[in-house]
Amino acid sequence: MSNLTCKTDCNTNETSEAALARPRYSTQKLDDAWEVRAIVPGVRKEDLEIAFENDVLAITAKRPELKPKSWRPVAVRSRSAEGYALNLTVNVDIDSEAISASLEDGVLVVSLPLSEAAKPRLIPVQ
Amino acid sequence: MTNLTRYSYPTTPRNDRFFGPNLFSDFDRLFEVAAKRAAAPRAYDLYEDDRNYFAQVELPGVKKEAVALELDGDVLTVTVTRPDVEDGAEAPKWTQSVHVPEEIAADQVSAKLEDGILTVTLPKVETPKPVQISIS
Repeated sequence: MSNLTCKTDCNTNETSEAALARPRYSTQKLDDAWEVRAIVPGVRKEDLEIAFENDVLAITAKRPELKPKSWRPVAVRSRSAEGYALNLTVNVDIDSEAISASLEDGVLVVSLPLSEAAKPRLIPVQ
Repeated sequence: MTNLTRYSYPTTPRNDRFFGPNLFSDFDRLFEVAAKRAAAPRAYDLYEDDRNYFAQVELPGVKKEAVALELDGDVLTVTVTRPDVEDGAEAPKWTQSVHVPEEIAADQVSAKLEDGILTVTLPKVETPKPVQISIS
């Protein structure tokens, strides 16, 4: 069971009403941090907004218009979202000051370091 | 009265040996799910304007060194090779082709890979305009 749970629009990728789609994402626990990877092609750093408030990690990204107006569709299969939104409830103690994120080639990686109290401790045996 | 039973196609188990908990397992899932959902395998989005065709496909997390683009006649093929493989194993590839409707000036085709989106620009060959022939 994951300690990071999706907060809104979780059951479906199809959000036909909302312009912001939920991106494909994964969460993984590393030794001293949780790592969230979200697939957000077409998003640049300046389009990203990442906030952490009330134990919710909120990621919002607006995609710039990828296609000039002069382009006419010939065979378009994918649903291109106007942007992405992902809200994850974080149920584990993390050091919110030390959250970091990187974006490369359309993949966002957010690192949520565990707080000192939550880090695994080696217990010495007397 | 005939009984209709639902036949479920067997699914091949994915071999995760090559990938481990890294980015490409997400990449795999992305395209696997898309392929199962769509009637056809995931294809390019194809657009045009008066002078060019534009083919776009999302390749998140892929570096351009891993991408091979080939234009053979009017078929454009993209092949993505996984970067990390075990020694001696052949690198797994993902490939997709699109048929471009019109004649293309192959030597003027360009492509860019930016923010996980591959855009290929294919200039159309200019067809000679009809010439009026006067009868003397």
